[in-house]
Amino acid sequence: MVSPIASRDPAPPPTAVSRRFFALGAFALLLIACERAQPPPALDSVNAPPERAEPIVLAAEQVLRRSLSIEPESLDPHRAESLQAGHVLRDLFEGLVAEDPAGKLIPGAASSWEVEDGGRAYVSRLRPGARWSDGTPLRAADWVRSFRRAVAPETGARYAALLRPILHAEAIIAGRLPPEALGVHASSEDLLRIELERPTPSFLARLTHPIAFPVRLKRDEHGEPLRIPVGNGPFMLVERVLNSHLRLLKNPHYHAAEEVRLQEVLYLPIERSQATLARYRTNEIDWADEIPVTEAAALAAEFPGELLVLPYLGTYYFGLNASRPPFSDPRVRRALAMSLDSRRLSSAALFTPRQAAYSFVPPTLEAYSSPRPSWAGLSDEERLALARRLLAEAGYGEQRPLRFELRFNTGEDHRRIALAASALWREHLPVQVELHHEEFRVFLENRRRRATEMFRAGWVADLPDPADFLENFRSDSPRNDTAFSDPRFDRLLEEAATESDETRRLALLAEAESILLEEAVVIPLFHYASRRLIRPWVRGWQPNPLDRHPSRWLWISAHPSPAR
Amino acid sequence: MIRFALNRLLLGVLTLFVLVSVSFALIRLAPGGPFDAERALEPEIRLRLEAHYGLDRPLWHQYLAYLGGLLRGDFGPSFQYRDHRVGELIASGLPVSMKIGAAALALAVFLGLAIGILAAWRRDRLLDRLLMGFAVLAQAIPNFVLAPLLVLVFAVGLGWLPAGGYGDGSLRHLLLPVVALALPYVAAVARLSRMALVEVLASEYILAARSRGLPEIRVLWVHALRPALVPVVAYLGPAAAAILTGSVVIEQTFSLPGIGRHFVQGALNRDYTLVLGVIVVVGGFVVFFNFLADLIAAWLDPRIRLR
Repeated sequence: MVSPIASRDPAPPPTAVSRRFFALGAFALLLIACERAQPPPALDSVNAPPERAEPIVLAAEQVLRRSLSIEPESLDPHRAESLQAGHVLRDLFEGLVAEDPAGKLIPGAASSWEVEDGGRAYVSRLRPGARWSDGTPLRAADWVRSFRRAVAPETGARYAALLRPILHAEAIIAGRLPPEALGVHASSEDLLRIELERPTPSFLARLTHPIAFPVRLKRDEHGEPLRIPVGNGPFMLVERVLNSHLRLLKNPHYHAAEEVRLQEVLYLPIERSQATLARYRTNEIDWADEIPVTEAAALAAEFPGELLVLPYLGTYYFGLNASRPPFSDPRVRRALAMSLDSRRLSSAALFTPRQAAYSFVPPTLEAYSSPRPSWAGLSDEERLALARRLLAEAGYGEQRPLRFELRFNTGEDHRRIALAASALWREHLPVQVELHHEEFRVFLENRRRRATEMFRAGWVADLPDPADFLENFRSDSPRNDTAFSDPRFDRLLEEAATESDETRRLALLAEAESILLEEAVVIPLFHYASRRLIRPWVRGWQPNPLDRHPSRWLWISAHPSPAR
Repeated sequence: MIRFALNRLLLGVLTLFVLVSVSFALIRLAPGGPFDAERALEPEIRLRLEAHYGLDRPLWHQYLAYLGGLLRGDFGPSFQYRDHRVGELIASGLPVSMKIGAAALALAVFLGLAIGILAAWRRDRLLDRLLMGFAVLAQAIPNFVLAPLLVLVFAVGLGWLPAGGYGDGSLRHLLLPVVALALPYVAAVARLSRMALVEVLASEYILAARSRGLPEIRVLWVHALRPALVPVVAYLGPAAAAILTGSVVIEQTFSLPGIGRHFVQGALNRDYTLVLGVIVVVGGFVVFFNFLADLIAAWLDPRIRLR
């Protein structure tokens, strides 16, 4: 097989000594010096799946063992929240719309749909003879009940807001209307009509999220779901031991069961990345998620061609609290935003400049071109000079340096990034950054209460849509921790939401994003990439914008039993 | 003896009550809540969730409701694992922790005592020095170093045993965790029993026994061992509680589904009921085993009963 790392990049992994320095993360300046001195890190080339054109030869045993970095907190699609629970749920359930390996939308539980009333209604034709994994029929009425439950406030679904485009959903979520008022109706046993508040281009993509999965309830729609959930997806859960494993077998009632090659999927929740690695080394798992940054270069050398670094729709950024000094002054915000070289930061903190962010919305979205802030065209010297001038105008200089606090949640990666950023700022500007870390929930509460000055944040999209990133900064968003409030921005988002022409809509969103960047309440640092180890015999996956790899498409190719 | 036992039992229940109350106050004082996440909740949904879990009521009310639930044997719903109640999580995790713990405890007692007795018998000779050297080392290596080391050698390196997981709960899967868990306790028991034995062996009644011409082995087994066990039992009481209720480090390193993991993870997740539930269980074990140790010590040494 082709080994993309070993063949394309001859650069040796960092020496043990320099790795230890990275791991310590204690001296940011030293760290940046290291980065300069070193050849381009090996990670840069690890971004594409190995291309294989050989014929399909299935292994006799079609069993895939995947690690999960946490135990899924719930297998109730409406109540699950973590990405890890999402992986399992996408195997157990299927929405009306599904995704192919590349993330393209394809018919799921609905074999087709018609758009009516100028985009205000979607009529889905459910697959005839659709069944739950226990063999009982899955009818349009089940879908109606599931959608109602998803938006009912009693359910407590964090992702209910994804269904907001549906008629009356917003009022139901806010408790002003009963769930029965939801614009989802069964026209017949296999026709499901969903009415929207207004045309919403991203609506079909929303139906791939677990919040739009059908949930089999015990009795009535207020009942609790079954303990071992019964789903309608390509696999069914047969065994679950909390904190040990989830055993999934192929669901014989799935509509495309004959295309599903895996017979069994074993999910193993393993919290410690070191434990994950040990079990990958001993061949107890074939697919290991969330490889730590500090290990990546060494692992790329240890497992040639098996470490995959794939970008997905997520952005790591610093948020600036605009409701209190010093960041209530836009000049100060802009000065800090324009002086931070995200390329250098990304190199220092992630050992690769590749993920550096220049915009808030990642460039992974094809149709959307992210705007750049006005200072992007300037040279480094010009930008730094401008930043110093802006700070001087705001009253900060060598005599009176800008002091602020940068808060992050406890974690080695966050610490290294914060150190690198503060070092980069101190290098060029009269600033004094105080780093402060807090336990995650404490940090989140302080952020939500807007008690922080500058804070780290990350956003991973649930939809391949720029609006999913930008909506967070609407003045009325519960997730707007920056206290950013700009009527122009709000109006553009509002217009985009009602715009039915996709090109026009994206242009409006780009305009909104350029306001966000220009106002500099966010400083995008880098876009997320997943780091995982996949054994070469696991086939059928492709990179996709949301980094979703349902087991439906995966298979195990014939391979010699691994040498130990 | 019965009066002594009842006294200790009452004290134990009181201890548990204080423990639950203080823990309840402490965990609720911690900032940040169970529903905080990077994706903040819609306000209405947050209100409903808080109402569902009773977080909207005054704290004293929640406290009384929790105590009432406990008395009925209900640990409440888990905040993090919303499909489960805390009672279920404990019921599924505790047997795993106890199985590994019981094996480790047995190893600690038997191997520890054997080493201790052997060292005391050969005191100040080479064997004693070697055994005690091993014990000091075993006690000094923290298990977050020892456990990964065992994995590295026996799983990754030699490939004899799996690197983690509970599997079907067979010996293959449990060997490394049991050894990693037991080793520091083996060492502690060995050192304690040697020390106590050496001390007892120097006492006057042993001198008297020896002067009557009893063989050394008989002196050791029949006359010295029983009083020498008192400090070992006193140590093993609380230690047994700690071993049986799961080690966070061991369970995380070997990805075992015990209840030890719930303690730390539950606290980080602000899973109030889960953390309290684990505290109640661990506290109950500590109280029970201390009680048991007191009884055994009283049986071993009648002087304790009189105090």
